[in-house]
Amino acid sequence: MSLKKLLWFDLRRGLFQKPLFFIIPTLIALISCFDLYRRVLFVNPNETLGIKISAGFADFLTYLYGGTTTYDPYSGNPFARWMLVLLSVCFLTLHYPNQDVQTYGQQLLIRTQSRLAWWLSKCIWNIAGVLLYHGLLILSAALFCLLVQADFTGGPQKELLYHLFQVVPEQRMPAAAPWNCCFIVLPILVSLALNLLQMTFALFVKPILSFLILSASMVSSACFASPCLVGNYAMILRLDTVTVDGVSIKAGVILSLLLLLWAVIVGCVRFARCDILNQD
Amino acid sequence: MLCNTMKLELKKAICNPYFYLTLLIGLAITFFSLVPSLQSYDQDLRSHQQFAAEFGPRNPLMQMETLFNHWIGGESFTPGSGNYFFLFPLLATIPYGWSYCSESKSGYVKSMVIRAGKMPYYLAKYAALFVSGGLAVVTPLLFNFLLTAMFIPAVRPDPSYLTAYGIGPASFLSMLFYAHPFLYVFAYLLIDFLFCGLIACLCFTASILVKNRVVVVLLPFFLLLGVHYLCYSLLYTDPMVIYRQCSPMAFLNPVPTSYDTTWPIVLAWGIGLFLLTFASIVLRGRCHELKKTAVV
Repeated sequence: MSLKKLLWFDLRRGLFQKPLFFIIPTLIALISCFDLYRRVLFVNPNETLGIKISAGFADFLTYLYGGTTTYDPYSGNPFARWMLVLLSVCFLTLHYPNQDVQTYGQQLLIRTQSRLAWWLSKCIWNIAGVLLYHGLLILSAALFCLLVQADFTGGPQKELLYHLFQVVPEQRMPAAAPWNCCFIVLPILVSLALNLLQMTFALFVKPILSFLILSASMVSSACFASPCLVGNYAMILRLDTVTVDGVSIKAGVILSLLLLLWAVIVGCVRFARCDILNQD
Repeated sequence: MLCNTMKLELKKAICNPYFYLTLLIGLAITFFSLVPSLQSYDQDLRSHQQFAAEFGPRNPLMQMETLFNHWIGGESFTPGSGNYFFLFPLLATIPYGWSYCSESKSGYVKSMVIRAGKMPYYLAKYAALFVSGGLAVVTPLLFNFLLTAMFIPAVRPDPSYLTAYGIGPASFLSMLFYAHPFLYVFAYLLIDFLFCGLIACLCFTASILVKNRVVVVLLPFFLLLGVHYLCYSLLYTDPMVIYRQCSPMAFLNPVPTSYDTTWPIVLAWGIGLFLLTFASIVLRGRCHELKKTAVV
């Protein structure tokens, strides 16, 4: 049994046959878009920004991946949305590898005669799952924009988003390079790294504890705007081009890729040696 | 028989590595939240002393610094507090939420039901889940409260400084906070215990629907996070309106974070969760045929 066959099996069994992979991102994106749409309606009559505005596709995406500038329990919405966007995908990819290795995966391992192939297949499955999840988030946002006839061409509107995320003027970055949708690439990259890390941690501790570690690191990232905590790079509002004292995009890309590689290699070494028969 | 089964289940729920580990994580979070809290207390105390030295001892503002706004449930500025009141559904479900799922998979349920009877077994399971969930969350809170009390005096809160405590006149149990602060803390610990117990019992309901124990343990957390997200996205939309807090993830924190909650909301959630979880126990105990499950 080749890696290709194994991967196809994983994609079919662990992705396409899991309706939650399709339902959850669609729901999250639609609710978030509806939320922004209504908030913009509230902004307009007050003429807070001086001009009549409407949110475009780029605004909906930035709203989804925005995160929070500083952790403020009084502004529950951005924090809850960001956590839900990133933790839902961790939840969706958490149990399949474990379930696989305890049941029919053992038969597959015997047939492939390669633990490396099994692990690589799971890594590719994980990456595909995360990309599908974020792809669906973006697709649902696009669908919502089509429904409300929002603009697809422009970039994110700085003033509107600063206002909605309640960024204080001292924290706002003076007008430099315009924002663009490339910002959302970094949160997706971080999400990929986090999911692979979670899968690797699950080889050392139980999957639930692996999820707990990851959740705690995400909450800590929201609390501390530190470049050492990877969750900071998954928040558009924490990037150095968006807010003062933000984290570097370059550092985020490098750190995410390093974590991704580390997770794949360490997981590979660990899985090659671990006892899969006595796993609970 | 019920008594014996209950004892056995409680022992299994409390004397298992998951319970110890969760307790340890909870204690670590609450312990580390003490450090920034003490730093903030020390800093505030110095500034009050400077103020008193400059303007005379007219108003030393000492009542602003009290145990009741520096323990983990009285402040919301430390990462420990943020972490704890965000992760508490997980801390409630990890200790024993997986048990029914595992036991029905391994066949242990059948063996127990034959020996103890269906209803006693399910009732004992419910009690064990409830106690383990409540204890896993409330013990670290109590530990933090006692630890903070070793450093910060329990000065009675003065309503003149209500901005320093974050508990306004419309807040839930605010009368109790200003009149009998210890009773307020005790009442909140009791509410947290009851709710976390019920959240842990949600795992049993989830076990009926889902057979994967990872999903079973994480489902209550995502359910509460989903409710929290829906509340903030669909209900609290107008910035000019003061809403009532409907999300348990927010109102189980003794210090209100954005909106105040009310008794009817807390009671509605409590009764709703109890009915949902207890109904599943009763239905399982009366209507479920174990033999059928085995064949399926």
